[in-house]
Amino acid sequence: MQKHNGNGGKQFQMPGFCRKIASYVRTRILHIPQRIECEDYDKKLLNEDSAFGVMEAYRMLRTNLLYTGALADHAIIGLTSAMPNEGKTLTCMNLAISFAMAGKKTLIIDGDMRNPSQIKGFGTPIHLGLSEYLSGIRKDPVIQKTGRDNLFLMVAGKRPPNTAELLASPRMKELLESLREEYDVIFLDLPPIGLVSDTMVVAEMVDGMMLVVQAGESDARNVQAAIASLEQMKAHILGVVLNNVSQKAGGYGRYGRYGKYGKYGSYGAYDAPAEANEK
Amino acid sequence: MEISLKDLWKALRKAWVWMLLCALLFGGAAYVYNSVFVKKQYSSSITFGLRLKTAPTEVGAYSQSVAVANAILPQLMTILVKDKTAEDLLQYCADKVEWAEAKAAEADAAGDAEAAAEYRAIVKDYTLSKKYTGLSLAGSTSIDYDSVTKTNYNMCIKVTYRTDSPQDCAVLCHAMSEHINSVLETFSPLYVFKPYTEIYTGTKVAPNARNQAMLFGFVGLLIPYVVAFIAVLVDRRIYTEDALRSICPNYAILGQIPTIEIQQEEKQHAEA
Repeated sequence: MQKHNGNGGKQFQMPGFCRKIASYVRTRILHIPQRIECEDYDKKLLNEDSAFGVMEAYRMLRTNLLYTGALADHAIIGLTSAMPNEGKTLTCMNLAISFAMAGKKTLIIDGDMRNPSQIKGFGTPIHLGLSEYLSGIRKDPVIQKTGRDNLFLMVAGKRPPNTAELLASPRMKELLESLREEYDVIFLDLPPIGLVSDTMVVAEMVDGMMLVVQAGESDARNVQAAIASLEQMKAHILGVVLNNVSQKAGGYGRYGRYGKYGKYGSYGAYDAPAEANEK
Repeated sequence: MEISLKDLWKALRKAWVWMLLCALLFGGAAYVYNSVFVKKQYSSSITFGLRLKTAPTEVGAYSQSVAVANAILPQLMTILVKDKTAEDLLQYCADKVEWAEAKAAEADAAGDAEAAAEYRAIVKDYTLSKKYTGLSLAGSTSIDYDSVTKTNYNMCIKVTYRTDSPQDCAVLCHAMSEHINSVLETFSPLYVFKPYTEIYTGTKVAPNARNQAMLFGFVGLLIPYVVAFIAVLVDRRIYTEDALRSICPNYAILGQIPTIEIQQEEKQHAEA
């Protein structure tokens, strides 16, 4: 089944009953875990007590990102997904935390002004942010501390009626260029590219784009369409992040057997952050 | 698709309750449908024997007659089932009824009540409850080997009629037993061809609700498997790194973030 989205493209979705049966077969019969619908970001954000596997996954992501060459200097990285609810906000937050933990001065800009979510994650007090700056209400960008070392946040602000126009404005470009000097890494959390055109206008302003794909949720055709859209905008695609990978689906690859080695989990307790603190 | 048929089969075996439920549901539905809604069919059959008119005198003549009977058998069977024969049979029944009615009327006029009753019995015997055509008559022939071994006929042919009325198929068999001589005369004057069995009437042959229930029960057993397989087959969602790599081969897979379940599991391990 295919629907046309506002972007002129096609949005693919399986018929509802097929989706339900396939999900039932995978979850109940094949026992493949599915995504948990949870808005409680506090439990999902990386911290020193986070599980070893998760910490390691984000560390791996950070390392791979460094190896792409996009982070040679003060880099601006955009994160998007094909469709909503694929975990890009959480990935963006945790990746930024991972960089901050590594000592990089990191900024998250919530570029999804239509559906701001970063503010929920960090619980920052000030609700003014990107939209106020881009629309000229605020002369200076409102950047807040997140309560974590080296990590700063610029929330989306009040939802404006013309998000795409604001993001495409020269003021956005100026903002990114000015912030580039101050921060080692800037992560731009963008709306899903398969639904709205906001991401496409920002794609050329950033150094690289990352596409977040939700395992067991993202439709292959939507992902292909998202990549095609980014390619069309001549965006620099750094790579793809597979989120919510199930161990039992075999998607965890060679490391799929982590769960069996219980003692591996204990490595997380005295890993990098703890060592850094001791020093 | 990263799930093979074998994996799915193994997994579905665990969901045996669903499979059993589907089997029972399909089997039960088939049984009820066949018992209540499907029109019942009855069958009557009659066996004819084929034998040389004159007894063989020379050595080997008997086996020769068997060989001849075997040679003419296909033609004979074709004649017995073809539409023209069925139409002749129906016409025979109609003529017989007409003749018996006329005779009964004559007997009534003559005041012979006994003869009139006999003729009316013939009318009853040859009256079909429904109107058939040559094409709609489901006649079939087969070689009755059991009868060949039991009797001294060179060949035995069983003719079966199947209709939704037990009386009608009996009437047809009865008419066939009388009508067949005329068929044989045109066929071969050397052979005796006559019915020797009783006409089996009113045997219900269809629908066989029990067999249908078993068949559909088996189909029902496979339904969850087929549905699950199709659902997984048309599922275009990405589950694994390999699937993602095949979709965007030009870009790196920067990382894989495990599920919350795994996080919790590992956390428990860490705590332990």
